[in-house]
Amino acid sequence: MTGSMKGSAVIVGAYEHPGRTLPHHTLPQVHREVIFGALADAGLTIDDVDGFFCDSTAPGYGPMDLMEYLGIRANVTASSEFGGATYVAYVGQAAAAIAAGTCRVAVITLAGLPSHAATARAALDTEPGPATAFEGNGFRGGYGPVADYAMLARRHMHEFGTTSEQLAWIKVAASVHAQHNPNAKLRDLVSVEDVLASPMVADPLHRMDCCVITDGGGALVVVHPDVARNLGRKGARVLGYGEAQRNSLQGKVDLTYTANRRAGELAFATSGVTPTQIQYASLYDSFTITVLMALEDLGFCRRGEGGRYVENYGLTGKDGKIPVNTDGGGLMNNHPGNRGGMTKVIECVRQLRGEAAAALQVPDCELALAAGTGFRLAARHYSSVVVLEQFS
Amino acid sequence: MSASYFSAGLPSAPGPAIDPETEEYWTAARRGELVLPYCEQCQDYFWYPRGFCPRCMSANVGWRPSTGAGEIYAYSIVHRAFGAWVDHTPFVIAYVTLAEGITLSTNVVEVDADELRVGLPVIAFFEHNDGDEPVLRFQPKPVTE
Repeated sequence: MTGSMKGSAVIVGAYEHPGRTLPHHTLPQVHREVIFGALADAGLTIDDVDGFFCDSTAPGYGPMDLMEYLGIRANVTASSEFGGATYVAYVGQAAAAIAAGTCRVAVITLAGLPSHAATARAALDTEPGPATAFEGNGFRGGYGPVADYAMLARRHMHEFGTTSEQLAWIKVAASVHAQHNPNAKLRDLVSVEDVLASPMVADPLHRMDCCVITDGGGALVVVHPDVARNLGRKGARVLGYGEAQRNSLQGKVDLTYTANRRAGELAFATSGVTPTQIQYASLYDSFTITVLMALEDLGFCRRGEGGRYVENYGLTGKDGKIPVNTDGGGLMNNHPGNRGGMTKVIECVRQLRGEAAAALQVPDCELALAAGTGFRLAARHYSSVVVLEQFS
Repeated sequence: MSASYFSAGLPSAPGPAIDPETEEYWTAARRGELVLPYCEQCQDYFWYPRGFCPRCMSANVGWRPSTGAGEIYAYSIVHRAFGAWVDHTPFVIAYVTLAEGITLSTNVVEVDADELRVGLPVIAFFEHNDGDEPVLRFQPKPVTE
């Protein structure tokens, strides 16, 4: 996003599916419900849409099938795959397409049904990448992503003295926020002791260090500022954006920072905003450690100090510190299709519009940040960061 | 053997992708030897094996025998698993940094929970399960060495 693209697009529609378990839905149905929901929120119709952004899990021929089903005719279409980072990245990519004049009304959609057996089978059927193919005879079998993130937490503990208690404060904050979200999958208030007493999944991460698994989805409508002005609806202007990937670096592994560092630098540079100006942040929270490292990598606290930061301040906006994931986040509210990026942007839009839960609304929230990460931070992964500004 | 002891004998999966670019690794592994891909241009190792150097694009890459010595960079004791691994929980996954300077993901076995720590010296060996290719794993390095 060059200078000329700064502010080139506005999010005018945002919709989070209220469902958390959807046994009778199909994937296209969920896409329809969230896209129609986001268009209704914006005051637009399917006829207005000329840009379409879905992920690689869309069924059949992906975007071809979905656009036929929905009745969309688009000038620009994408079905990229950056895992949970996809939807945050798409906000920037849609803004770039709008700035280039390729489209004026872009829809970004996410739908996932992990409770359906067919979804789990499809994930296992994918052709492995070269690293996985090489390691596939036993280095890395038999465990989910929790163990990878556990290694990240272990190294952080080793380097910086971070503790399980400190990580637990991140879950506590999410549970405080979830009290105000009637749609949240989990709504019980949680203590540090509760987290530490929950079963160990992959040491040092407990069950309560992990996000929920939910069906559902969400959608965003990103438009040219001229379209936004005509709609007269509050929204979120895209000020800056960055993407970055990181991997095992040819064997020179360093687990003490993630691709968020580079993606954040790009997003802050293009927006001309600094971390201290951000009033609300949606930080990807697949696991507690994911949030802690994002705080450091994005400059909300200093490197290595994430543990002490969350222990001292929490993430509920205490002591003038930034509130994080006021919807309850992936740890409590929703992590549809095992991908959290979409809900991260949606809660930013709520805050910038003044439509967050009353008790958690940041007064006159003008600047917000959403950060998404995809795949496994302990190995190859992707990050995307957007800086958003109140638009009215 | 206590409940906090992590034994060898972890599962393997049949049929890792073996191609001309990785064949020499597997040939050596069947002899019980660990070889590492080395770029003659950069004069440095890289991981995982492939037929070119991912730093400098050079195809002038070869294989060098590894001492197999390393230390734990990070680890996790995995309590929840699926497939063939269910019967082996808890087990240890780890990143091990070899003396040659590369870090790879693996399992550490024949180790007690009390002994596990970042920095623990470990030594490479290959586990063989019937019919499957050998799997690179690590165990604590005997202190006498």
